Amino acid sequence: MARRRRKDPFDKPARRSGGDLSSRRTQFAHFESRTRLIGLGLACLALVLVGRLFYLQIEQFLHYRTLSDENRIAVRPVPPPRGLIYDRHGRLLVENEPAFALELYPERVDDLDDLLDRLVRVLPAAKDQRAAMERRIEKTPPYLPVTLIEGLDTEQVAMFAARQHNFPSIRIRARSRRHYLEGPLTAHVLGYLAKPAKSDLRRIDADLYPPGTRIGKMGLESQYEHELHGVPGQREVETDAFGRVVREISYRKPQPGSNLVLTLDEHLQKITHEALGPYQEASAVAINPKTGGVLAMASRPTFDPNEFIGGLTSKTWADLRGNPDEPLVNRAIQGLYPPASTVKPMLALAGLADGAVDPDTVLTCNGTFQVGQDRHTFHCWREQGHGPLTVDQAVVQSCDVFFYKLASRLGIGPVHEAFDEFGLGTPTGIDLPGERGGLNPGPKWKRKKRGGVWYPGETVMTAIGQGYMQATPLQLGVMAAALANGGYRVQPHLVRGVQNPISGDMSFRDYPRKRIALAAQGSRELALVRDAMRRVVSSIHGTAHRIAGGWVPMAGKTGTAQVVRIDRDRAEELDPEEKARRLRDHALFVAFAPVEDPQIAVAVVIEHGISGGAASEVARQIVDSYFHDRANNR
Amino acid sequence: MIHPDSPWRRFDWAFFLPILGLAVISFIVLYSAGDEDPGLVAGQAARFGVALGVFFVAAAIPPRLLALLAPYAYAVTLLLLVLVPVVGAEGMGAQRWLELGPLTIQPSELMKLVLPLSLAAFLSHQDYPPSAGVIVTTLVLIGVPAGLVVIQPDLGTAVLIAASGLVILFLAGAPMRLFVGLGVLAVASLPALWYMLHDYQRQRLVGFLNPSADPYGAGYHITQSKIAIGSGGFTGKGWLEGTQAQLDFLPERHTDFIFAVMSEEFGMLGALVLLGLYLALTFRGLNIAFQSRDMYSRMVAAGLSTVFFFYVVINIGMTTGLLPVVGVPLPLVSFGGSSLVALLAGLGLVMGISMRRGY
Repeated sequence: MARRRRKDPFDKPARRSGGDLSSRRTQFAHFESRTRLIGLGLACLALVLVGRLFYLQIEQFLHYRTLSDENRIAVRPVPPPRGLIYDRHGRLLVENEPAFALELYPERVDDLDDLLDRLVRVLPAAKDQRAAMERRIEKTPPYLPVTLIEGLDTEQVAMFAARQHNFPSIRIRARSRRHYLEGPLTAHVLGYLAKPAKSDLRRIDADLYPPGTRIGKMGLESQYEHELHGVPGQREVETDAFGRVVREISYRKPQPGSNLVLTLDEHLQKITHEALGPYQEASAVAINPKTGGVLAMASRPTFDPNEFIGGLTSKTWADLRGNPDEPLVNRAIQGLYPPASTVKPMLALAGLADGAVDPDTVLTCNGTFQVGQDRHTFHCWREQGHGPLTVDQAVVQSCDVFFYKLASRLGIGPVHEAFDEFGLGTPTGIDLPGERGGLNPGPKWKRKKRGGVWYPGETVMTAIGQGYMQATPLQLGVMAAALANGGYRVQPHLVRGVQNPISGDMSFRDYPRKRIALAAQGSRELALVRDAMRRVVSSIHGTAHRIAGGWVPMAGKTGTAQVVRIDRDRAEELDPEEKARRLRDHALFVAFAPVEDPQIAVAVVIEHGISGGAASEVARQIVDSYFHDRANNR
Repeated sequence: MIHPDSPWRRFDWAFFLPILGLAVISFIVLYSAGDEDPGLVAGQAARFGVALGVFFVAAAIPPRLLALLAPYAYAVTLLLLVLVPVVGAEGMGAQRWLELGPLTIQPSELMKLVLPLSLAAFLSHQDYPPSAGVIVTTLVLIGVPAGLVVIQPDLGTAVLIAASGLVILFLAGAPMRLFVGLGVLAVASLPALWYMLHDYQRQRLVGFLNPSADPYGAGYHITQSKIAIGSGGFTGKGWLEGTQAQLDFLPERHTDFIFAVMSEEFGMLGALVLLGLYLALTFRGLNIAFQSRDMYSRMVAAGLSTVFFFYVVINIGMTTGLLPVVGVPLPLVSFGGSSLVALLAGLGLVMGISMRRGY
């Protein structure tokens, strides 16, 4: 028993009953002072807590109240519906359709691999995009939503929605997307939408473009971005910590973008594409010569902008970019071609105005013409020559030698001026981005750009639209329009008016036109040249006689542009047959109809189309269809 | 009928009423924090009922008997702590739990109560002032369980176990310079401690020291909690109106961060009432210690009351961003049964001492 007691340090009755009372009293006293000390310490701690509460709740109250409001109130932009685009008859060309995307909230994901595995099981389409999804998730900060897949169709969304409860971290987001009803037919004119590039972000107002908004690229979508886009609305919502909307506090409606009404004729556009169908690379424009309104503008090859919308796969994009035929180029405003003989009516006007020739002057073509100190020989396209010709006959038969001689009489000055008056060498100013201006050469230009003197031989080349000369099909169309409308250089345009989407009010646009001194209304010279152009089609000698007849009398001018060479690096890739095709001449044709009071002016360029004949047939189809539609009120 | 000599005749209402007050506050705030789920509050009320039963049992046990049992309780609890890493269940990256049949117990929680009791029993039988040998023995008795808990790893509980032991040692009259020395040692060992910390512990510390460095990561709890408390202002946003709490911004809002819900909805006024109840309870406990006639009772009453208030300070300090986030619930208010039972058992012992004071 005693041993046990000694072992147990807790039980020492001897010492306690030993009655060391004074020791016990000091112990009690000490205990009490220590307890007071502890009490004081606890009171101090309590005071610290009260001080902290005072700091947070009284002194910093406003700061934290603001933070709390920011926490719970989120301002969500409401994207505005983009403006619609109609053709001249009010036929819809672009509409907005709903598109669905899946958004991931990474904060709420425990096991990403498992989540994606399950997602692929529900949505097999997600399989190919898995790597891209993982990359996007990695790149995005964890508190921002990540777009997983875009461009889901209704069926896919329904499939996912049925299993939504298994994916609390994924949300379906509905957006509107562009649907181009005519697809490839209007691709170059309308353009397409895409995510803003870095360069876009610098020039646009970030308030108008909340994340995820798309911006017009190319075509009217880009040119009229400001009008089409509209102003986003705002939804002030109370959210929980995961961004889920609890309730709506305020809503400001978005301002829809304005609608565009075009001068384009949807049916004529289709016909134009069909007419160009047989040719690999070609383009055509049809404009109203009185106003400059573009009735049709086609460029081939083309592409389908609807493929760009649902998140273009990089392969499709690479195919488009890498295609040597450059389907993304709008040849009507960006393709540069030697205008060739299509410039001869202008030259005839310049010669008549200058007095270098008068309507009765006869110049003889024997197939060749020599010019300059080295007596360089230039050939007429007709080796045996045309014999004696007046100026109108020279236009009808497109005699080169006649115009070599005429240009030699005139010198480069008046020739350059005449072309300049008709708009060659400067962009037409059409409401499309990326238009090129072509080249109307002259001594000044040569000195500056090439560093040399102008040779008489170059005047001769320029006079038949070859050599340095370059023009876009649209410029040729404007030229044809000027000859058709009695001497006005119109500004070609696609947008006739902008429509307020709410009230439906139209505001029509005015486009300037400029008087061309050379082709004054009613002048004898212009009448002569126009009649010559009529005979190009109707005369048995005319170069476009093959399209004589038809619905309405038509005037025109053919052209055959020599292809000088093929890019050397590209030539090696081509098989011999393709190489031969690419060495063939370009076929050109400008026209207007009817001859009296023309309603339509056309320019057609067919790359490697051999001669103007092919192009003239395209023009005939366009013109016939136009008047056929008009007769049938279409 | 209560016997005239029964200690229950001297039931300490001044000690008991603050407990009831805190329970009522707990139910009110839990209803708001728990998405207005009456079931949650009812469940907590049931747990409170059970814990109150434990409270009365603890109060009924004569303190003398407990003093006799304390060394065995210490030995058993220590054995359980040793068993944890061997057969314990793992949860949230740490091994803290033991599964004994249907019962899952956390020996470290048990130690928080057992250590002060056994130390009080041990030290009340020593000469006064305690000799160096006794002090070293005490430090070993504190150090072994605290060390075992550190390696679980559960730094927060280890610190609390050590603190509960040191408070008893302090009350037993150990020399002041010992505590000054321990304080200096603790500060000096901070850098070394940093390297011993686990990643999640470091993250918590960094989140505490600079919550804005990663407001969505480690500092998220602290940032959101401070916003909740600060935006409550003086009078609060009103019951069930706390946007931080109701809209899920506040994490763990019905357990460790319930003080933030309370402060958001009832403002500084509510927080002061809560703090007042805690102070009333704690100082009543210290007062009971003054009135007790034996050293064991004195040390237990004062020690348990002090440690109780430590929990309060640590929890509120953590929710207001003064202290790093450690998993300490707000005593008697946070949702949960085991901590409630442990706390009310301790408070029941103090009540038992109070009922027998002056004998």
